[in-house]
Amino acid sequence: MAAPMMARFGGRVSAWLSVPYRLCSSAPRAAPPRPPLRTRLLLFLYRRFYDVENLVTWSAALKLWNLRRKNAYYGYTQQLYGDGVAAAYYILSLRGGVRFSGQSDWIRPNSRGRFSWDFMEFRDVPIEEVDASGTEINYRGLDNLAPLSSLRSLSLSRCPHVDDWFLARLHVFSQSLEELSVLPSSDRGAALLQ
Amino acid sequence: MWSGACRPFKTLTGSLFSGPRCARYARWRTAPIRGFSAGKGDDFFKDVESELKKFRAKAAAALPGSDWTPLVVNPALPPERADVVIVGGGVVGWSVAYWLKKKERIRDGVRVVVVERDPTYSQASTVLSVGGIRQQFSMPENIHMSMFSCDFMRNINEHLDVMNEDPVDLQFNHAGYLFLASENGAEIMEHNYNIQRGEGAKVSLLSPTQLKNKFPWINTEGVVLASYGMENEGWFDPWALLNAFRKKAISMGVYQCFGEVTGLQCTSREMMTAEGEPVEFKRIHHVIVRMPNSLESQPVECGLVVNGYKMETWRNNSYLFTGIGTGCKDTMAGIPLPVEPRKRYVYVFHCPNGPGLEMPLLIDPSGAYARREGLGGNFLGGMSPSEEEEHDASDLEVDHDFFQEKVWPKLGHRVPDFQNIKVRSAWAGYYDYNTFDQNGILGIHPLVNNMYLATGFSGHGLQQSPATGRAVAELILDGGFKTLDLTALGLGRLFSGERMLERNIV
Repeated sequence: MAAPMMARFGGRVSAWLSVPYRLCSSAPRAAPPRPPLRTRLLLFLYRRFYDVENLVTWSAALKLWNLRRKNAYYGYTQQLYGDGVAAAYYILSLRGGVRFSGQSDWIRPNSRGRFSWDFMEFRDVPIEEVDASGTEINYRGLDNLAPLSSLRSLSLSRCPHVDDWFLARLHVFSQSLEELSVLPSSDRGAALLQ
Repeated sequence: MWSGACRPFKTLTGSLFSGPRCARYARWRTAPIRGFSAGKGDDFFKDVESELKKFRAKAAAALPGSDWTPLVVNPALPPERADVVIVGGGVVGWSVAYWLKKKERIRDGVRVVVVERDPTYSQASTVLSVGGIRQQFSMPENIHMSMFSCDFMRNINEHLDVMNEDPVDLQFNHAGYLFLASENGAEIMEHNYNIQRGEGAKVSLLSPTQLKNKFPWINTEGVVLASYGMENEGWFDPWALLNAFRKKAISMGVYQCFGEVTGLQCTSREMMTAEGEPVEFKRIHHVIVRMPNSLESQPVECGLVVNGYKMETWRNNSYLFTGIGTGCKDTMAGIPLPVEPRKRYVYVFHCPNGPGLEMPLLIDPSGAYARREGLGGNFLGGMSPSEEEEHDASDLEVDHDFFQEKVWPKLGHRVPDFQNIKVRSAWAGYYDYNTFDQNGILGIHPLVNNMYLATGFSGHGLQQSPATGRAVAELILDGGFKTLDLTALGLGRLFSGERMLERNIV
């Protein structure tokens, strides 16, 4: 069946799969929707020309590189300023929100993605709540959050890269985490959250 | 085009004759004309259309750019020349093919052909396997291979995504492996645990009380220590992985051929060792591939041959065509490959009150194992028999008495809920068992210059297949191991007699 051009990440394909699948019924399946002209044209050119194939491959690789850059491990920051500051900077750079223990206000970036550096005052204060909903957090980014031993609440709704592997790694928070909000991608995801 | 022109004519006549008086006349005029096929009315236009289609097809074949030839060639034959021929189309073979194409530095730099005997994969170890992956090994090389394979499977869509195909879904269950140890095995388990933690695997040791807290359905009698894998362990769908490798490799230009390798043509060169003994070096120059259900065979001229298939006792193993194992007993040529097929049974049973979703792949100290399958209360279970009681590996018939007598008592003792089960089905598959030390054999054979072996994984070939493929591709294209150093798994140890024992075999 036709999958979209840039569907290198499983999460984005679901937007195109608007046709319900009837796995066990004998009724004839509805034909999958034809992708728009732009996609079909790009696919035709991809198949015919090596240049187009290279350009498409490079643009997908660029997207992946960007994702990896956003989820890089802030090891140097951790060494210099501590785990809390590194994790806070990481979450804020992803446009998420952080709340430190003892504070009632959330620290969030504004609509343009800019945030103040006030969180640097809280070097030794543990982070209690992290709101990463709608961000591009993924498995590699959990390296930044893993040292947070007193994390109480983690919100992961609407994150496109939170998959079963990500959820399986959340066991590192099993001691302290009280509230976890996530939309699991499959029924196997529900098994992981045991 | 022609038939379209008839339609307005028919509706026109229909409307002219649509009054009640003319009803019968109208029916006669507008009824479809079922004339003779000499070409009257509708049939004539349809014939013209099909003739035009045939003409267009013939014209396309005659123009340059088509693959029509006057000499009809069997399209299923492999190419006459190839750079690397991979014998065996299981997950290891296709993994090698994918990595070779991934690492070639120019487009079509290496021509790879994968030869597989059975297109239905009815007896292939890959698809009959239970599909587990674990890092709980005793050899660091095995641990790293599994860790890399897990990383590979986590990012499988980055590696094996094909344009315009569905994203790969391996159905990976992250439940982990739980090894239980009795008094005898506790020390070995602790030693293995230290090695695993040292290499970076996320494993934890549990005492019987902790075990009972975490998994209340286990009977901890006789259990002194348990080792639980917390991350990167579980089971997945091997058919999905095989097909993902296959589709991606074919999209990158690997040739797939269904046929049987019936011979290897070699040239040989006699040389003298330093002690003055004659040694015969062979070099394979042709692989004879015979088509299925046919006497037709094609010699494929090749540069390298990669053996990625399981050994069988009752057919001629292709590596034997090179004469390995048929020399004098004391020489290198006299040492055969110590790999043989061992039959293993897998039983599917249903337990109404069994352990829930959090059940890992449980391995009893006796060797019996069980894991959850799906969400309907079904479980898979089995056991590797001891050396003396090995099953007869000549066919894949299932012995249900083995379950009744050997497997079920152990499982029922360990998980009391399993005393009330009903066996739904069973199948048998082969372990590519390395009788020497139960670890994979990976490398070039010293006496056959261009044959690479990747076999003998004794039950963990599937879980190490991405790493194996990459290792063989590095040997071929880079001349040596670049990422993981797997010289410990090479063939040298077979000739020096040094065993690299893997203690944790399921």
